[in-house]
Amino acid sequence: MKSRPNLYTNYDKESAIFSNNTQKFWFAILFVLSISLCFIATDYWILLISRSLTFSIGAWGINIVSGLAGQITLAHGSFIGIGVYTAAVLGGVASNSVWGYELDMLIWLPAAGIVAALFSLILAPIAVRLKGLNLALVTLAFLFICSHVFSNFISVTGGAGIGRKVAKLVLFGVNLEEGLIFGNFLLEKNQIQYLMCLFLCMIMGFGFKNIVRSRAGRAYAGIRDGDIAAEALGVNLFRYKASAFALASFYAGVGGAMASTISGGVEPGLFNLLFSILAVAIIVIGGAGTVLGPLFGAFFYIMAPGLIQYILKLTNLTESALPLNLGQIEAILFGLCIILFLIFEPRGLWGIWFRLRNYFKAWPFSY
Amino acid sequence: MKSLRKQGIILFTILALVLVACGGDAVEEVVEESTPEVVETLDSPAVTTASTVKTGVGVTSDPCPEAIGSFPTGADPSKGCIYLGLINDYTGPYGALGPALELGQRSFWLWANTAGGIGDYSVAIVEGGDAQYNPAKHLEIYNSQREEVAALAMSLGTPQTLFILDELDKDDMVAAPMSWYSGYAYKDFDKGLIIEFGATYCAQGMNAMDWAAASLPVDIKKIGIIGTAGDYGGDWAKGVRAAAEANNVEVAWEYLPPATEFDVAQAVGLMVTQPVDAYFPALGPPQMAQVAGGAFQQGVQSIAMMAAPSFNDSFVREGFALAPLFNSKTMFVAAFVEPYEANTAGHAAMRATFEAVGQTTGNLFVTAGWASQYHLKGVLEAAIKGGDITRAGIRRAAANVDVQSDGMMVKRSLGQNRGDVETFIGVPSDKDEDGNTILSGITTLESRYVGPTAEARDWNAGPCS
Repeated sequence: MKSRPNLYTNYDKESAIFSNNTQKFWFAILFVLSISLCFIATDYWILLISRSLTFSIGAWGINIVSGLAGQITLAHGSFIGIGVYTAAVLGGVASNSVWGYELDMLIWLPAAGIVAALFSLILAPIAVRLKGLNLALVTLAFLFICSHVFSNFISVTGGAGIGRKVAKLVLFGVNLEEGLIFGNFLLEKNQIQYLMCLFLCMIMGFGFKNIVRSRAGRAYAGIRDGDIAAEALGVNLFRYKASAFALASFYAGVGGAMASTISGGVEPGLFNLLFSILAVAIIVIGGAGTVLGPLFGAFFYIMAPGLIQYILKLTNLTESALPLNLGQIEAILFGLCIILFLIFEPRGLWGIWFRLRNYFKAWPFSY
Repeated sequence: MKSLRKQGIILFTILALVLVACGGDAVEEVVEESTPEVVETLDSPAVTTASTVKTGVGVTSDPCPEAIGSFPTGADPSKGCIYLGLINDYTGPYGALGPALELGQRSFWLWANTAGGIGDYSVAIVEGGDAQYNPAKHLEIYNSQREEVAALAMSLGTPQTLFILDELDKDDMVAAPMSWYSGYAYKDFDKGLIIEFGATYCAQGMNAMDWAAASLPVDIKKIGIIGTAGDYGGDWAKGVRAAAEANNVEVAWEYLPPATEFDVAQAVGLMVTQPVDAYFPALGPPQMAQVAGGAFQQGVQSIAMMAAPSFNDSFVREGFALAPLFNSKTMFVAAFVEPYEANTAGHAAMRATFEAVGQTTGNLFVTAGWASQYHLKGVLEAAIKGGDITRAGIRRAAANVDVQSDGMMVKRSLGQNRGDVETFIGVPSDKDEDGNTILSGITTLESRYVGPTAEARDWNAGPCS
């Protein structure tokens, strides 16, 4: 069987997290490289990669509800916000205007996901009765309500235009804000943050993979491909649609809470409609419904400006010498990518990766 | 077996949570030893004039580039270079202002370098990064520049700047702001890292109200305040309200919603349904035009005392639909600095530099960009004088130094827990008495007005909001 890596003799083997040794090997290589990266890369690149990893978690969330279960949502940004503010209240420092309990990360990180998931259950009864554009409109309304609450609930969010500091990085009672000292070696805060983001991303990534290959994952796919048929086959629509929203929001809350620790503070205006649309765009570019797609999409979105800047520096082109600034180039590039992917590669970056991988698997033969 | 494993997991989770909670208490019980703060000044032995200069990150013995982008630096090739970072907005809500601010800042250092630089160094601002008024992007830009700059020529956005304060603190990185939040004058708020300049929004609000009550021919009994919640609108409103109370003026309404929820129709509605003698807007130019125009359309033309960022010189230009309204001498501007045409050495240097580089603009934002660098220059000069131009040296210099701005703003001492209060009051005008176009679009009424409310306030008590 070793010489036939693609021969599966049972369903469990086919749906295993790593279906063959080659995948295990490359994952191990990637893991070692990822760990070592935080000792090689500059602060700037560490920050970008950390942000990409946390965005991936949020993107996996919307991938569950939209990519897997086929439900359109524009409220993902709100659930990210709920997670961020749950973490900020539980793990942040109190001031004259905002609440903060300075609890451990072991409490605020899961709580961020759980609270977001609980709020998402408000949408569940509606999600069962509506679909398509109607559902999108309801989630849009939810987004506006949340946006209003975020802007005005000063004790929690600090208020619009001001914001608040986020949760402190304290794990098992150890304050990681100042870094960790091992003998003569100092592991700086950004390196710790990167490693945390990496491990969290791995855990959530494996979690997503498990959802896909579980009964729930198959039920979601059934709902996406035809909810009436799925119901006829015994899929409980209410249960699975509600769980899709709850799981998606859990991912959003956890990803948002972790991401907020990187930026240091958060202002309520961030969680607007554009932010939610961005989450959708990330999975469209990365590849909706796939495991690696959101990871690719998030990395593309976060890293693209940095890479453009890097290329400009390499080519001695300064930003002011160009007719457009970096923000405009980034926006145009991102918009263009969405259009091009929708037309030419609906499976997104994952689709390109899939074809490349298959090409090299079959190499030197063309198919 | 499965249920046993489940029970084990549950027990382990509960135990872990209990341990974590206990751990937190133990940490809180630790009593930190407090050491008396050593206050070093330029006169203290640590920073007396030195013959050698200690340098650090962002300071090179190699000369600055001749130009950054297409803008000349005016750097002396025989001198070293001090690099300054720039966190700007080119897109987002303040994207339109970013280039104007940057023009003022780069022009300032072009002039300063041509005039001899800072000791044996010229100064160059690196390529600006677009933070898009987004805290995450702000930190990203900061990280991309932190390894190559000695200080920040600008960190745009109050919340964004406050969010990266811990990072700035860790790096000893001082920064010039581009807002006039009253908290920036206090070390408790800015850790002595923000090199503020000009009167705070709060002081501007107080002075605008006091001036209107004392100087306008109309008896002002009832006012309204329009703005958005946050450091800008909130600070301004506190100042206006305090002065109104002191002048026995009734604040009939205050419309300060979050920026995302600002509704022009609601603001106009308040002006129409609850008329006031004067209103005090702290808005952006597009909102200002919509509110003033909307109310005018409904037949309401109250006196407006605008916070400077509300105004744009294009409001008074021929061809703009509301130009007659803004030129009607019923609208006034309160600002931290006199406009482009003012008769000070600093303004003259600015105009000469702009002419030399072929710039024909003169709005409040380019003036703000230029003025923002004066105090930073003073700090860098003090650091050089003290023989330490490392970031720590620059920070120490910023903690206690007298700075001046060639007359553009009042002379002041940084690090005194007291912001500036002297406010410029002007009236929008397209042309002067001789028919020449006024580039700033403002004619001066009061250069450095300080009303009784700002005069009487104990500024050592802390920020307004």
